[in-house]
Amino acid sequence: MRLVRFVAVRAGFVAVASLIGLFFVLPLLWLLTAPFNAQATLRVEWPSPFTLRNFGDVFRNSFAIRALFLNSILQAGGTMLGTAVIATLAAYALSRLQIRGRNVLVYLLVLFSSVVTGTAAMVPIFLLLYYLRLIDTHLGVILVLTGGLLPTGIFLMRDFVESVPRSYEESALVSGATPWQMFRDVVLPVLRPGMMVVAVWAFVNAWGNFLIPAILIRSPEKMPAPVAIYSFYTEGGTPVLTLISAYSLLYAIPVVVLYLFVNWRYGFRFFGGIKGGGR
Amino acid sequence: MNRGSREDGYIVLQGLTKHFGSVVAVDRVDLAIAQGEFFALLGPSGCGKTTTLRLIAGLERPTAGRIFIGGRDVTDLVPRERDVAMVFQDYALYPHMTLLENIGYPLKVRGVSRKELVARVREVAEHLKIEDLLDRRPSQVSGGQQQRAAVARALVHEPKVFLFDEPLSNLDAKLRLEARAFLKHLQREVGVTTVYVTHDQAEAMAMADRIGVMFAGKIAQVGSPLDVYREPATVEVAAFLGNPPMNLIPGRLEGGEFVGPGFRIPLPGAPSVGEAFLGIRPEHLRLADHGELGAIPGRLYAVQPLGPEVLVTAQVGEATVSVRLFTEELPRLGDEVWLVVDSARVHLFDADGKRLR
Repeated sequence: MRLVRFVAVRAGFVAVASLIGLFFVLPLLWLLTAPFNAQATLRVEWPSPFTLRNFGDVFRNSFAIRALFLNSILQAGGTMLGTAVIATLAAYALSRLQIRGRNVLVYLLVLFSSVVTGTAAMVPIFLLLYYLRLIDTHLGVILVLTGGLLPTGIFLMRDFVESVPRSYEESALVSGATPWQMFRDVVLPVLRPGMMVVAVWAFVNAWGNFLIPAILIRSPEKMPAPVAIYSFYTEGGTPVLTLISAYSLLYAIPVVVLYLFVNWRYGFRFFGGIKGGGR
Repeated sequence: MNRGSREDGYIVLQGLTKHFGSVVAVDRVDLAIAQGEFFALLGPSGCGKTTTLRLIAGLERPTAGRIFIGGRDVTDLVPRERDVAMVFQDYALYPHMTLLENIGYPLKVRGVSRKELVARVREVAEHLKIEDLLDRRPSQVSGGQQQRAAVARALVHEPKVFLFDEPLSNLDAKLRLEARAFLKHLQREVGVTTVYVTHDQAEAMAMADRIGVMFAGKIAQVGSPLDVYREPATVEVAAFLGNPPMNLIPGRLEGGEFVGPGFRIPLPGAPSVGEAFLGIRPEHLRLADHGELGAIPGRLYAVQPLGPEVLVTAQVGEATVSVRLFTEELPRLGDEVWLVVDSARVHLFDADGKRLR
């Protein structure tokens, strides 16, 4: 009886897990097959006839290619850099300074950022950038994206900073280092894996963001890929699936490459930035 | 007693005080440490000894008082202007640097050329017998080797003062004994004034030229290990030093006698102060078969053979009394034991814990 029940439970678990897995795998399978299909539909099917012409067509769309390989890289890269650097400095300050109500401040930051973002904040953000003359600039997009990601980024970074023993910094100071030397030589290298996690996370978020560049960027030559993908719609508004799938595949590659690089170089860890490297 | 005048000390603390909020960590400490001296700050955890060390290093700013090193007022100087070196309890070796880079770091920040840096690190590393490990990271060497690397980093720029913050507490018992001898030998050899913080009285006794015993932010006594051991200034110091520590039996001093629970010990010339403590080290007691004059009656509690000696504990009134017998034989004892005091070795403290004799 027991064995039967055990098998039944296991079988049920495997079935449910497979179903959930299938649900997430299907779109990926489509993304890997459709770009090579001369007559792609919304179904997952073996490419027939197999072709690379879709990619040729995509590369002839210079607007979309510029959006992907210049504008998106600029905007997501800038956001990544800004978020990683500022989040690290802010998390360090928040961790090391003794301010009353420090933890409350950090939680409020994260809470507010998750409540007041996206669509709700779009009008004030647009007005703010308008008065700053940052509408239709890469910098404007980078600042808005960075601002939106910073609270969570600081929150993520704080765990890494907290795990750095104070004695590292104190020993550097007693060894004769200036505060800046101490930060550069001792704190930053130890925090690097954490910074990489936050950087990749920021890059992925900025890379996939549609709303903010769609509203802030006016001229076509500055639009990033998520906006430019609309150039693969016919004038009637129907998506050209062959081209959209090919463009989407190209669009996915940088993120995968970045993830693989950071994982190879630093390894992803979300807590305890220095575990294993320490004593 | 060599406390806090600027002439007779290399490191001088004057009225040094540190508050953390409402907590007084260090309370008006006056201290003078001579040049080349190995000075141990000893006390239980939370007594302020580490804070005192951090004040000397410049890692904390004093609430009040002055600090002098080599005649120079360093109270308001940042750590790097004090020319001290510190070995931390967790060694604080940087995980992303090799031992070479770790040990050379104090030279690097002083702008020493790479060539000279490598040469000087090699020299120190050879001295400490870790020269083969210089390419490794801290995580790739043993605890004892990490400790040597931390000491090497402190040595390499030839500081005026060494500060040690419980550097042996992360080593296992066997390594600790080795490292104790090694550090003491090294300090003698380089002759750098050293302040060594520890809660281990045996470590302080074994290594230091002088010991300062701290309780609750104050220095209770300063003296050579033997002075502090033989003539503890307070009940707290008496109870902190020795293993096992001094036995303390509460009672009354009156008419040239100490009156304890069920016994009287004649002590000619002792002041009649009323309530008092009788202190006696475990090695200054012996066991007797019968009640002798002045013997203390007790109930046997435990007999612990330790190899070269036997430790006997007995219950005397409310107090637990230890006796050290320098014998390998287990004594045959009944429930009732009699403890005979070597009255020349008796310590007396008044009700406030101050030493009477």
